[in-house]
Amino acid sequence: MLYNRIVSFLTKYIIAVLLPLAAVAQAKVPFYEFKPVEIKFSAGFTGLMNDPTHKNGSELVYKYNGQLFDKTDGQLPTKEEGFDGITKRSTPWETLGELIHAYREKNFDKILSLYNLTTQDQLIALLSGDKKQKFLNHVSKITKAKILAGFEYKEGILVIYESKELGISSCYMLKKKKKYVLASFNDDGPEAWNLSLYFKFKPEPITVPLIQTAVDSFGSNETKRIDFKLNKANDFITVCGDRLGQAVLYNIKDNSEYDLNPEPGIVGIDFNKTKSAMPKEYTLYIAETNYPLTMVSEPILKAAKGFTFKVYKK
Amino acid sequence: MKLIRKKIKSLLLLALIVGNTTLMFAQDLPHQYLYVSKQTGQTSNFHGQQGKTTDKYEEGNVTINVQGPITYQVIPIDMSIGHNQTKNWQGQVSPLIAQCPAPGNSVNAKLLAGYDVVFSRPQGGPADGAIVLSTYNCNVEADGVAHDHSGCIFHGSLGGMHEIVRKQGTIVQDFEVFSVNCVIPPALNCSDGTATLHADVYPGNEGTVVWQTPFGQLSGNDIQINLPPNFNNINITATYNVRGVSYSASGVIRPSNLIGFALPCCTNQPKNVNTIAALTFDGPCHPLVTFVPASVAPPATGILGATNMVNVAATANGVTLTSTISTVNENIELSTTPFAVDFSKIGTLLKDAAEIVSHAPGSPCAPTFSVTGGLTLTTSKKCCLGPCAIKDAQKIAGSVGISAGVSCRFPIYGIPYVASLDALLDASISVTGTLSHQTTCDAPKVCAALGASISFGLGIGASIAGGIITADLKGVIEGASASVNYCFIPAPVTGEWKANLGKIKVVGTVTTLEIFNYSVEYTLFDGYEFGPFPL
Repeated sequence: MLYNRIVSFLTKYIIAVLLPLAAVAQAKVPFYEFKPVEIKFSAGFTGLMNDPTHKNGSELVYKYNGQLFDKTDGQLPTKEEGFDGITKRSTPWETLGELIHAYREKNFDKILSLYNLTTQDQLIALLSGDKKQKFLNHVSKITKAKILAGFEYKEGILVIYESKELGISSCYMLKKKKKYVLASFNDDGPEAWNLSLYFKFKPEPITVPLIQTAVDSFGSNETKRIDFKLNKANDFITVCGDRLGQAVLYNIKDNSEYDLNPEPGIVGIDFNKTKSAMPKEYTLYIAETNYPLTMVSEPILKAAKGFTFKVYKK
Repeated sequence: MKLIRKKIKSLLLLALIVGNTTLMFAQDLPHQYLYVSKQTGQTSNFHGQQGKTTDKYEEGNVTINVQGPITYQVIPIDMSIGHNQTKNWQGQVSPLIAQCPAPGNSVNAKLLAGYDVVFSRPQGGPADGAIVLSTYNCNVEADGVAHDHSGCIFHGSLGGMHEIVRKQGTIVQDFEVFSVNCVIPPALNCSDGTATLHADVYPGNEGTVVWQTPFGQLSGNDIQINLPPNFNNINITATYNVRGVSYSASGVIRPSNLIGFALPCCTNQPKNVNTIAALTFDGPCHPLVTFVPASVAPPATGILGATNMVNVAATANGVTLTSTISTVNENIELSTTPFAVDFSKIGTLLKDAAEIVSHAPGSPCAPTFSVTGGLTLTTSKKCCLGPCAIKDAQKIAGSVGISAGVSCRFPIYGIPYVASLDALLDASISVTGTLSHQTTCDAPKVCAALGASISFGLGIGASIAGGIITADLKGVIEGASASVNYCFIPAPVTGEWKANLGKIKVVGTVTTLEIFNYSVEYTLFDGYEFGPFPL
C-alpha cells in the first residue's frame, strides 16, 4: 500500500515538475543557419511553371543561400511544448513560430503585429466583415507546423512550411531593425511556385506498376477492367501513348474517387468504357509517380513500361 | 569594192541566162520545181532572159552542162562576150519526159554553168580566187597612155592602181522534177448522204483539183457534195493541174449497205435518235438515213418509263433496221420512307473525350444529348450508261441537328497550397447537316460529312480558407475542332468522328495565407487527338 502511495507520488511529481521542465527544454525554434543549397527535381510533373532559366535537361535546378530541413528537423515549438509565442523575432523561424502560435490562439492583433505596416493595412481590408472570423477559424486548425525550407529570395526571405491540417504554405519576410517581419509579396516568376510544388509532392523517381490483370485482347464492344498494383499506396498511375506533349490517357491517384479498385495500392481502370475503340493493336505505357502527370514527356516514356493488347472487331 | 562586185555580178549573169531571176551566186539560187505528166506528155519549163554590156576591160564565156532528165536552150547559142559589147540572151530548161520517173515519183536534176571572165578592179581586191593578169595606174589607161577620159571613178581625182583579173568557176542551179499523179480511192467517205470528194494527188504542193460529176464541175480537193436520196453508183473524174501539167483519174461513189443499228439501253433526257444511234455500214460511204421516230423522250410525270421501238431506213439501198430504247423518268419517286440513324454515339464519344481531357474515367460527367430534324430515303430508277443498265437509285435527304454536351468535374493537383482543386470541364459538340445525296451509276453509296463544331471550356475556381487562400484560375484552351462523317448507303450506316484539342493551360493568380501572390501559368498538356472512332 505504502509502495503504491510512493509510486503515485512519484508519478504526480514527474508529471507536475519534470514534464514542464522537459517542455521548456524542447520549446526552442529550429536553429537558423543559411548556406548555399541546391534543389534538383524532374521538370515533368503537372503544375510546374515553365522556367527555362533553371532548366537543365529534363530537370529544374535551383541554387540559393538558404536552409533545408529534413524529415525530422524544422518543427516549430507548440504551446504544449511550453512555447508561449514570444521570441525576439531575430530569425525567420522565430517570427514564423510566433505566427503559428497566434494562429492557434486566434489572436488577430498578434497576427497583424507580425506583418509590416503595409501588409497590415492589406490584411485589415482583406479580412473585413465575417471574413476575419472565418480566417481565424481556418488557421486555428493548425496544431503543429514544420519548416521545410527558407531561402534568400529577391529582397527578403522566402519560407515554405507545412502543417498536417493546412498543407503547404509559403510566406515572405523582410528584416527590419534586426527583426524579421512578414510582408505580402507579389511574385510573377516561376521559382517560388515551382519550389512550393516540389515540397508539396517531394517527387520520387518514376517507377513501373505491375499489371495484375493481364490482357491480350478484347472485343471492340467490350469494356475491359485492368488492375495495376502500385509500388506504393496513394501514388498516381499514368497510362499514356507515346506522343510527346499529348494528354495522358489516365492519371489516377490511388484511392481517389476515380480508382475503380477500392483496395489500397491497387488502381483499377476500365478500358474502352464507351466501347468505341477502333479494332487494331494498341501499345500503351504505364508509369507510377507520387505526383500528378497530365502530359506525355520524355522522362515518362523513358521510365514507363509499354504493354500491348489487341482490340478485335466484335 | 562595190564597183568591183558589180562587174563580177555582170559577168556571172551570163551563167544565169537560163534563169528568170537576177540572183547572182550559186549558193543563193533557189531550188526549182519542174513537172511532167506521163499521162498527157505535158511538161512545165523554167525560163528567163538577161542582157549584158561590157566595158573595155571585160570579156568572158560561159559553158553549160546538165545532170538528170532535163535539157536547156539558150538563144543566141554563143555565150561569150568581148570588150565594149552588148548582148541579150534568152534561156529555158525543160524536163526530158521519157527519162522522168513513173507518176507519183520525182527525180533531182542540175544545171551547171562554168564561167571564165576577165575584168578590171581596184588593186588588192578580195582573195576570191581571181588571178591578177596585170595592173595599171588609173591616171593612164592600161596601154600606158594618158587619155582625156583616163581616171577611175573608184579612186576619183587622186588616182590609184587597178588590176586586170581573170576569174573562173561554176554556178549550180538545182531542180526537182515531179512526175505528177492523181488517184481516186476505190471508196469515198460519205456521211448522212454527203460525200467528200478526195483525190490522192502528187506532189500536191501546188496546183488544183477539178472534179467532173453528174452534178457539174467542182474545184478543190476534199470538197463535199450532197448526194441524191436514192443514188446508186455515181461516176466522177478528178483532174490535177499544176503549172499547165495535168493528170486525170476516174472513180465511183458507191453507197455502203446499212448492216447494223443499235441504241443505248435507256435515256433520261429527250434525245434526237441520230445523236445516240450507233449505225454500222459495210463501207465508208454512209448514205442518208431516216429514223422513225426521229426523237425519244422520257414519259411524263406519273409514268416511270417506257420502251421505244425505233426504225432506221437507209435511203440509198432501201434497208430498214429496228432497235429499242427505254426512257426513264428519274424524278419519279417509287418510295419515300423515314431513314433512321442512331446518332447517340456522338454523345457517348464526347463524354469519352471529356473524360480523357480530365483524366478521370468514371468521373461524374453529366451528358446531354438531343437530335432534331430527320432524314428520308427515296428510291427511284436511274438510267446508267457504260455498262448500260437501268439501276435502282437511292437518295438520302433531309437535315439533322445533333447537340451533345457534357460536364465533368475532376481534380487538379498542381496547386501547392491545396491537396487538389476542382476543375469543371464543359464540352459540347454541335453537328448539323442538310443532305441531298443520291447514289450514282458509278458510286452506289452515299457518304457525307456533317458540319461539326466542338468546344471545351475549363473552369477552375475556389475560395479556400474563408477567402484567404484564393485560387483565381481558369483553363485556357487553344482551339478545338471535330469532323463527323457518315456513310448512309449501303446499309448498315457507318460513321467516324475525329476531334482535335489544342493546348490547355491553367492561368490566373493564387494567394497564400500569408499574402504571397503568385501569377500562375502552366500547361496541362499540349493537345490531344481523339479518334478516329467509329460511330
